[in-house]
Amino acid sequence: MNNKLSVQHLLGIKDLNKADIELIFSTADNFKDVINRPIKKVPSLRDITVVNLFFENSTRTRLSFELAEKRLSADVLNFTASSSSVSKGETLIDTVNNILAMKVDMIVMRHPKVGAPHFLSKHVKSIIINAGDGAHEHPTQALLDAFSIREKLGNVEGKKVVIVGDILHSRVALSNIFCLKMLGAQVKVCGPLTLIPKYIEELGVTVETNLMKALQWCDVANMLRIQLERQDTKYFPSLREYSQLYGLTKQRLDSLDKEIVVMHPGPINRGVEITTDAADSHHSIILNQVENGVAIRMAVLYLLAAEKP
Amino acid sequence: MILLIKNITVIDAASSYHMQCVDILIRDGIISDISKNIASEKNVIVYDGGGKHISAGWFDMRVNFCEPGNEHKEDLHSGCEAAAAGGFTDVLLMPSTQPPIDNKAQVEFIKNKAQELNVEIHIAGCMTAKREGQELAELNDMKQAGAIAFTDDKRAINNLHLMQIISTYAKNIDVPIIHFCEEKSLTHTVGVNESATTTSVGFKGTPSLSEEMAIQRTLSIAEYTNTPIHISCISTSNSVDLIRQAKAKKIMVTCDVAIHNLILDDAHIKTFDANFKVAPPMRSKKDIDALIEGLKDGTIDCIVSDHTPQDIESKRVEFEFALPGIIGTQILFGLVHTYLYQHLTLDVLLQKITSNPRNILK
Repeated sequence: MNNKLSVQHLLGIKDLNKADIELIFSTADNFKDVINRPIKKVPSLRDITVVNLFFENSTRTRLSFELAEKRLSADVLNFTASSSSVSKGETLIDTVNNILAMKVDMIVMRHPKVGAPHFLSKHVKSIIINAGDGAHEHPTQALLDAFSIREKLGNVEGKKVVIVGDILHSRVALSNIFCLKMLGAQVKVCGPLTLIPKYIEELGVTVETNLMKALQWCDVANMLRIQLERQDTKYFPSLREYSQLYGLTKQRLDSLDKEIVVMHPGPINRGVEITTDAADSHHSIILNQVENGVAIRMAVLYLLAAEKP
Repeated sequence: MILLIKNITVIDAASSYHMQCVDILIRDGIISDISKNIASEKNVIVYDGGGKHISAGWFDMRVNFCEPGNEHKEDLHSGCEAAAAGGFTDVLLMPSTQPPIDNKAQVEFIKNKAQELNVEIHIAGCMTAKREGQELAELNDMKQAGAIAFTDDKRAINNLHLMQIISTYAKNIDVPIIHFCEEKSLTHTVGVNESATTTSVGFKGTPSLSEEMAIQRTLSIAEYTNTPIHISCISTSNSVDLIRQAKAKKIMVTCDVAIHNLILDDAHIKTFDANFKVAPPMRSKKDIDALIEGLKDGTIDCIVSDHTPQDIESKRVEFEFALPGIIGTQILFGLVHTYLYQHLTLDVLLQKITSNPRNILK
């Protein structure tokens, strides 16, 4: 197997090929062993400085990256927009170049605008990992989701995955679609049509508006968080009505004539997209996803740092 | 000064010399004779046109020269240099300067500046005061000062009663009005079309519906008020159909398309390069084909550059933070001649940048 990624940055799943994903997975397998040892730390990224550049709120993704960096012995800087000079009118390029001038080697960036890390990668000299850009991509989330499916079901190829919820405003959905399709899964999206992009089928997925039909079809259901903060208009009348139509309950899971795997990228709105009894049931691999997130991010950091000139 | 141009082919569909190779005698800037063989006299400067074409001066019906207010992007002088380099003798200046050209004094300021420039600057004044879309500007006062058309440039008017009043009043004082058609509530990410391409890069694009809804109501108002309306910068296949149908119904509508909407499609958005950010956005290949068809069958009357310079600070940022706009007056003809020559013959192309703009703005 190849031991190098085909890319210099991780901007999106779209830029990867299948061999890249397999390499990330096998590397993550090793790191998952590492983080389950009594001594969870390895020296792989010693003397590498990573900045976590977050222009948008995040708790778990930032923590997961920070932990991955620390477990690899990297030096870590955290930067959040609220404490930044961004509000003083500095451009993104200037902000980043100022940080890089202090000899920082890698950037993990979350940004509210689509394409911001891609734009940045053309204007600064650094290794960039996209930790979410607008409603575009969130590649490490898609990788950890696919990795968790592989772990649970042995393989991603041929599996049927339904992504339920706000597809329109979700970078998790888009990256998951690209990643799962590349690995040979079948993907369906399910949710209110007001939250499904008009042209989504041209990305090779099917659309289902009936949750029970989608659940009956799938091996895995990935329940997206309903992100009211991203919606400029109300796309459905109320959370109550949303959960009536698209909320995953234990009762709905039990009425299926098969076992399915339940995932959620977090943070969960309990009682909205998923009820407590469903989230905490044996179907759920939500906490495995979180654990795998650290291993996947360690793998990505490690593989990209190896490319450092 | 007497100038004799020999052996040159006239391109002007309205002229009896159309496509004929002739000699042209010009005395003190005025054509005094056109015929097959004009003998040279003393003191005549002779120019051999061998194989070249001649037409009426080219007219770019939509340019922004950013003066006053944004001279760091472009000014009247540099804008005219660009237009002249592109072969244009006339331009219609949009009023979205800072402050906007919405009164007589502003019109006179431009008129005054324009005297020393090498391109004829025609002025479009604002339809509404301060270009705010709230109340009528003093159209007649601006007309007296020399404005020849009225528009709020790229700011669409969404108050339909006001649109009706503008049309009726424009008819009253006999001036052409130019609308940019966009329904704001359907405009999501500025400069991004809604398509499979843009969905794949996470943009919530602006559907063609935004333009088409606005065109439909603009056409209804033109029909109701029985007033000529020019719709500027159409970009979608359905827009072409709507205007084609309206023309068949004898509604007094004319329209134009910007050169970049004829050449570039929305696949360029995938680069996140804000130089491709324009309004209306680059659309699909299918839309481009329909626009070309519209130019061929006469549905689309003019090709404009929609010359909108921006400074690097407005472009070298995240796509959504960038300002829309692209330059084009100096390359319009070259682009059409290079990319669309198989669709548009020279005489059809020249109609779109000579006689048609002049007929609309007369």
